[in-house]
Amino acid sequence: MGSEAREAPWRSASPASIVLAGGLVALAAALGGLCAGAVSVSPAHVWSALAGGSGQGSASVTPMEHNVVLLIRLPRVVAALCVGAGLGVAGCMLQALLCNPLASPFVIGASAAAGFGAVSSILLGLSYVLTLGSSFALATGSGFLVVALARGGGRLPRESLVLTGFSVGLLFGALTGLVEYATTEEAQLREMVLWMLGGLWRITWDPLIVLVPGTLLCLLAAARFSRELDLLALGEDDAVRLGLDATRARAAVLVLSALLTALAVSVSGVIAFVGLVVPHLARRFVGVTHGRLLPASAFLGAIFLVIADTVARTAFLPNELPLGVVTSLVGIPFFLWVQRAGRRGGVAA
Amino acid sequence: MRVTLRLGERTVLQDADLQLRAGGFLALIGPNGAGKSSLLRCMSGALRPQAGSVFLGTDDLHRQPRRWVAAHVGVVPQQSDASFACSVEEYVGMGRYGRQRLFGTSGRSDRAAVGRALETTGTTAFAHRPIDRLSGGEFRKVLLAQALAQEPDVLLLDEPLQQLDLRHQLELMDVLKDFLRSGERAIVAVFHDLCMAARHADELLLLHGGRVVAAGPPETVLTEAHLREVFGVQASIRRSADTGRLDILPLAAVGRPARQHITDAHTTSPSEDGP
Repeated sequence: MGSEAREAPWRSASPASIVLAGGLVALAAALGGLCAGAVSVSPAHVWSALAGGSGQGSASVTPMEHNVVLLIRLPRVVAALCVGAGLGVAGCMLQALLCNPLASPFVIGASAAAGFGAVSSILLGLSYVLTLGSSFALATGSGFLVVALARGGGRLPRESLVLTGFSVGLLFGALTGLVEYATTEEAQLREMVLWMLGGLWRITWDPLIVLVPGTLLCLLAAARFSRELDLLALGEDDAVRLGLDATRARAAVLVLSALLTALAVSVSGVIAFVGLVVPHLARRFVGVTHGRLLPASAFLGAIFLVIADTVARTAFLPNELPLGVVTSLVGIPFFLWVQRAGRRGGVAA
Repeated sequence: MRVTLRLGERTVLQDADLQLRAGGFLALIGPNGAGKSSLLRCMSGALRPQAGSVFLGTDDLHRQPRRWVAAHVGVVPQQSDASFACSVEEYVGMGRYGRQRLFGTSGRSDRAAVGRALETTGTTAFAHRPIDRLSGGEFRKVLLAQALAQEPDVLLLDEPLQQLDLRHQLELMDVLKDFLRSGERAIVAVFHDLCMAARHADELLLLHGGRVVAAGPPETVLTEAHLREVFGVQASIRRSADTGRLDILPLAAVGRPARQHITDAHTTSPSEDGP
């Protein structure tokens, strides 16, 4: 059928080829991110700086370029890759879990909980690392909380998850507002606002020690649930009659999504729309089967966020835009355009 | 199996007792709300009865893990909504979940089973079409293909002929007959169409208000008395010369005279309605 060719051009691609293609594009985007900025560094110099590592760079690379690439940009780019991949996959899993194309990491309340953790920590004047830690802990904790509250009669119904997650999110949002209201120091308030808008400007190598392996492990764990996600997306009755232990699968997927969101958001602040938009974009390329959709979402998310971060840094030099603002301003029109361009296929009404 | 099922306040099924023999085709019939679908759902493991159990062989169905049930019992539901539209082939492939191990990607046996299921149901032609682009009848066939891909021992169907045109109805019944050919499998299907039930099933179970009113071959279950009491319908039951099976012709609702002019011993002239 002619119309099928318009859908998901890579729906038959193997997961391995998607990983390969995605990896190459992500590398290219990362390289772009390393070159661009207030101090423009040529690709050759970037390569020398990377290859030179902690030792002497090659003769043509200045010490400043060396530091900029390795100490400032590389952590940012790596963080952007991880955060983008994590949010993309978390959004993808939640859309299957809740059988809802509008689901995203916000729906389960993890982002709001992370926000509360961060602003509380800022109010208490705690260190950067503790701020990260508290936002991570609260986001993960909220995932477990939602599962515990939504459980009823040994089952974990979708509607219950949505309502509980939404309520938990609103609760933490309100508490965050309270903390912001209680803050009297201008500097602290500004820091809170900036955190809530999202950004990677403070990133150092330390958080990456947890972020990178943590994200990779969670992504692998998510891949293990590909078939379960396919079945969950069919709805309760169908998933169960086809042999899925829906309650256990839902709990696992929810906690995994919360973990990925927690890892991402604790480092980058609240970044909107990546979790919502990236899976839809991925579906348009590779179709809805999660064996392909998960890796596609991971790489698309990573690439998208690296580009967004690069834009945030370079669009209005020497000022830097908050990352969350860039993802919304860039992501939404792009998403709308993609939806218009390919009306059919992917999501049933 | 002998089950009692309560949903909320209502006793949906009371002491429903039935035996399914290998190679058998059992039709569940009864008026709306009699408990047919509920009984079917007890048998598939979707609903847990308050009293009694469902056994498949010697195994208590409700004690088995879901995967085991999916590998032995295939269900063709009345409807199914998927929030994301995959292709027909992928959708049918999901039926293999019950037989796949951890980290199971589709192996050769899975692909073969899917291919057979598609071919048997005549859906190979649109194997790559997204499931939200199928007509009602095509989708029903895909649902059957998905159940067949599970390679079950028992096939449960809830009103399988709904939305199918005449030709596809007959084709579907042929597929079901083939399914039973080995003599080791069984089918239970809910039918609204008594003629189809009489024609294809070896045994019928007549349900009324959650109780089993009659069970057995069509001749013992489909009597004018039963039709009058249970369905509230006066009907003519004849043996068809063409199929050798019972043919049921509903004539009038009990308590109201027939409106149409019927040319044989049951003639009633058109008259005004009763009050």
